[in-house]
Amino acid sequence: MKEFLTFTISGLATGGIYAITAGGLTLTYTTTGIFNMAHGATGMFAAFTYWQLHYGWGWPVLLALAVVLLLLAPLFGALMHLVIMRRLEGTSQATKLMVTVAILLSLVAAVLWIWDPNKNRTITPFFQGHVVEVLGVRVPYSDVTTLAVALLVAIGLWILLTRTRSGVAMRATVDDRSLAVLNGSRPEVPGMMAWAIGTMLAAVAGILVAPKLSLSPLPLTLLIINAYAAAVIGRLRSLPMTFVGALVIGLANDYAIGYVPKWETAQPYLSGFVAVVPVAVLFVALLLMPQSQLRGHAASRTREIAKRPTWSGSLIFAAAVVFGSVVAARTMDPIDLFSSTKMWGMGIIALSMIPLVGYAGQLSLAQLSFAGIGAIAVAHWGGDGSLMGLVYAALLCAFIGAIVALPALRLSGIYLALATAAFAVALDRWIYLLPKWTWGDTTFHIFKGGTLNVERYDLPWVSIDSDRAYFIFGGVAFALCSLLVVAIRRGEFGKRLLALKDSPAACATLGMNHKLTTLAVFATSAAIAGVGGGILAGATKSVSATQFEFFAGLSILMSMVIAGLNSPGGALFTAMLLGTPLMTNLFPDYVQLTTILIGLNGIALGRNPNGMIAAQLRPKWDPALKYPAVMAAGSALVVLAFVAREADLVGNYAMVIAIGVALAAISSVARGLESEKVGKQTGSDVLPEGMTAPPEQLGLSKPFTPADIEALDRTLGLPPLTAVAVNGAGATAVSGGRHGA
Amino acid sequence: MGLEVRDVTVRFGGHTALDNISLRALNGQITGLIGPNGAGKTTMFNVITGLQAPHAGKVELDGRDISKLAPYKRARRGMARTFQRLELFGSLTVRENIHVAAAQFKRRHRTAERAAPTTEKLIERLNLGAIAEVRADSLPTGQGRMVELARSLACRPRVLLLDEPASGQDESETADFSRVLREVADEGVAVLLVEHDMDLVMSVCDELHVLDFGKKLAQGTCAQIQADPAVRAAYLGEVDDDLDPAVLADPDDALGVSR
Ligand SMILES: Nc1ncnc2c1ncn2[C@@H]1O[C@H](COP(=O)(O)OP(=O)(O)OP(=O)(O)O)[C@@H](O)[C@H]1O
Ligand SMILES: [Mg+2]
Repeated sequence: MKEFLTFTISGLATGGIYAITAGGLTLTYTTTGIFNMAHGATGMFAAFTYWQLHYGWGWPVLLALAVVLLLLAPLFGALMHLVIMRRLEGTSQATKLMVTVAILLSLVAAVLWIWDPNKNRTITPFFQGHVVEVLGVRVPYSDVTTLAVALLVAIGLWILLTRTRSGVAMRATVDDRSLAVLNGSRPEVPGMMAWAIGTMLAAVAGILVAPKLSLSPLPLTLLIINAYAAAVIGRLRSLPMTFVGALVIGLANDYAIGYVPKWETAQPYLSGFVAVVPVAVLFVALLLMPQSQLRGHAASRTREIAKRPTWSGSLIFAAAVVFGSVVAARTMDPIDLFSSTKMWGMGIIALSMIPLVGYAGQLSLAQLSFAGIGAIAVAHWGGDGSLMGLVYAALLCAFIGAIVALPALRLSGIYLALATAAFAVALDRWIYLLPKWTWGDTTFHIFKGGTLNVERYDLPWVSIDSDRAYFIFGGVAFALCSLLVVAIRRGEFGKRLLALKDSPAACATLGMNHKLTTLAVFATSAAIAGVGGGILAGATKSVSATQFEFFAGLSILMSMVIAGLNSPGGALFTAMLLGTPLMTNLFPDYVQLTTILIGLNGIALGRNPNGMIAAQLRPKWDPALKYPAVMAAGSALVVLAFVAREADLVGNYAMVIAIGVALAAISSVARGLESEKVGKQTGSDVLPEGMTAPPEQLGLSKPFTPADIEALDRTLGLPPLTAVAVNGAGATAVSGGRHGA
Repeated sequence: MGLEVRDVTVRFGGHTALDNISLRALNGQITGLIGPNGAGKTTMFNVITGLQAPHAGKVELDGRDISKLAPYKRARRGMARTFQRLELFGSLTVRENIHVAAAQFKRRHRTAERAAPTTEKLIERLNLGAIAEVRADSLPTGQGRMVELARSLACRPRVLLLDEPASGQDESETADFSRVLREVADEGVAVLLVEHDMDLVMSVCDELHVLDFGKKLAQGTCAQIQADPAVRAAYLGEVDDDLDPAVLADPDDALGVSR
């Protein structure tokens, strides 16, 4: 009994922290319509700041707390609203969610950058050593504090929302934004207040929970997943329900921690489950939610465009990928090559997001987890490198993908995203860590307690055992998958997906079963991700659970969002950014740079929801498709450079630079021709300053001088060529960016 | 037979948007549903198509109760609609918009005709050839409404609900529209039309239902409605601008136009 009481009290304290977190989350969601995935990361950042003030610089506790909670956190929230969130109105739910994921990534990267992760830091609980006796149980003061703070927050929020003018205005904004504007209230103010208060609550929770967990970025950030469950119980609307839900989850959590170890037979299997109790609650809550109403599309301020890819462009892209992979495989040094072989698996995982996220507009945060399942399938059932392993991977992932999507199908997009996040976390914390188990005569041991070995595939005519050959094999597989994705887009299924994204309500009135369609696309993209995982596993030859963690998956998704979720070119970009040592080679001193760049770019999404490729690169290379002569000449130059390298006439750098020049020239010349045409139509016919001949003759009847390129670049506002042609991978980036977009 | 709505009530919080409303749209006829802004016309459409669950009441299609069916199942029974606030598939072209609907129909009914010819026929019938390759979200409202009509016709509906199809259309578009509407009704479709353009309503409708603040104000032929003092006070009086005085003065002529 005493034991039960102990767990109850600590469970209530845990629940209190969830309640504070979930309360802030719900407040910002209801007021501004933005579900803040970065809520936990904000709290984490606050905890680190508090550590710095109090432990790092020795400020008194109260001063440090006051500065963090009353000054910095609200300020950060208000700024976030002014600079980022305000601009998101009218963008799709997926874009909004991705912007907050970008903030999450940036915050984590920033913390890793500012506070050296190899140093141990702790925050001691408040009033350490002090206890009170309640019914014979010794309760630490810190738990009492937590509960008191949670109670204060609950009462405070209730007073704010029902008894104050600004609180009532906040609720009015939720109910009807345009109406609130008509009535003369400025939705700006409630929005800013919601963000300020929400961030403050995140900070409170972060500082309260930090002593319970270690002070390291990821556990604190992912704590948010537990709070989601509470918010979902409150249906992202009702604060009282959210608070009750949080307490229930807290209790369930601590009872599990307390009692599971006592149950000896199940203990090894359930010890990981303890960590996913809140996630399990989340799933149950999703199952119990009432069906959401079908919605039409919100009038988008910023149109999110998805141009239909042409077969010719896509085939050229695929060919360029294969050619690029051959060039890269023959020129990269063996160490770089080995660490780059995984890029193609990454690329296919990135491709798997295109039908689901790009076409259908459904957010999945678990694509990397499906890749993990694919890798496991290949390792266990692939035998000795049989290609059937990839087939099994695809089938298994499609099946599991459908099951994961099932509970969230009735609900709107945000819940599907949450279900996938919960699934990914459940894999990381529980399933992947399961010990060996036997079922009938088959014994299964998922990660064999550490790493799985995977053999490279047996192909009928060639051996792909060497890194070089496997790299090219990966390039071919990526090219094929990119064509598959294009085929989906161009076929009837793809049209249906876009229709569903644009207006679920209209789809329903045409007789389309949107649940079945969503299920189909979810399973399809899970299958593609599974194949990607299998190819990734073959590249590294051994895989471990950490490679497929939820958090790593966020970076891939984010990079795709930035590069463009509708373009295989975006997947190639992602593959090179995250799957090769490109960034670390270029900027060895800034390991966090990639993540921070991704984060910052993601934050800018509100302004440019189509991603970089659609907005920047595509317009630069599109005109080339209209001038086959230019394309041919450019390609000839590329091939020539490669042949020259093969014949040892020139070195690596010369080849890379030559290819870069040729690719840039294709773009410049084609666009020169294009503007020439437009110029002729309007009667003006002036050569850009510094050019030796009209652009249409350059490289064809007149020699192409560097001065011409420079002049063209200047007129067209391109960055100088040297920035593009850094190494072999850089060259493929340029070639990849141009047609697949 | 056709569409039959019985005693439907819808409340939003304390506000009763539809109060015990019944109406019927017969096959081969154009039934008008009119009333001032906020009368509950769109809400009625949402109830009929299943996008909004009523607090009470039933919807029947050809004598079968469909109140419990999901929206897509109602559509499969032959119900199609257009939307007051356009719900085009903005990232698809006009042709693709229609094709999606035609393919959807084709998948369920193993008709001999493939989706593509249906699409082409509709493009021709509604004069959309010039804009067939244009992305739907770049269309002006008037053309957008034509595309929504084409898309709903691609489902070969037995009941067609049109929510303010003429708003945003110019005169020639409206003329095209009423021609197609008449043709569709003559093919035996039950058409339910919500419209503020009284010229159009009076010229094409066979029967009218008038709503006001969620209550049924009147029901009858165009002539009866125009003569109804309550309707004139509540609604027609307000929209003098839309209304050709000649039509009001001589209701028979207005009816004559439609035949
Ligand atoms: N989802 C909703 N929540 C709350 N109130 C609603 C909702 N939908 C409609 N209403 C209210 O119900 C009433 C009827 O609205 P409805 O859109 O059906 O009117 P309408 O006759 O179509 O008007 P209009 O001619 O302007 O299109 C209005 O007062 C409206 O504010
Ligand atoms: Mg309406």
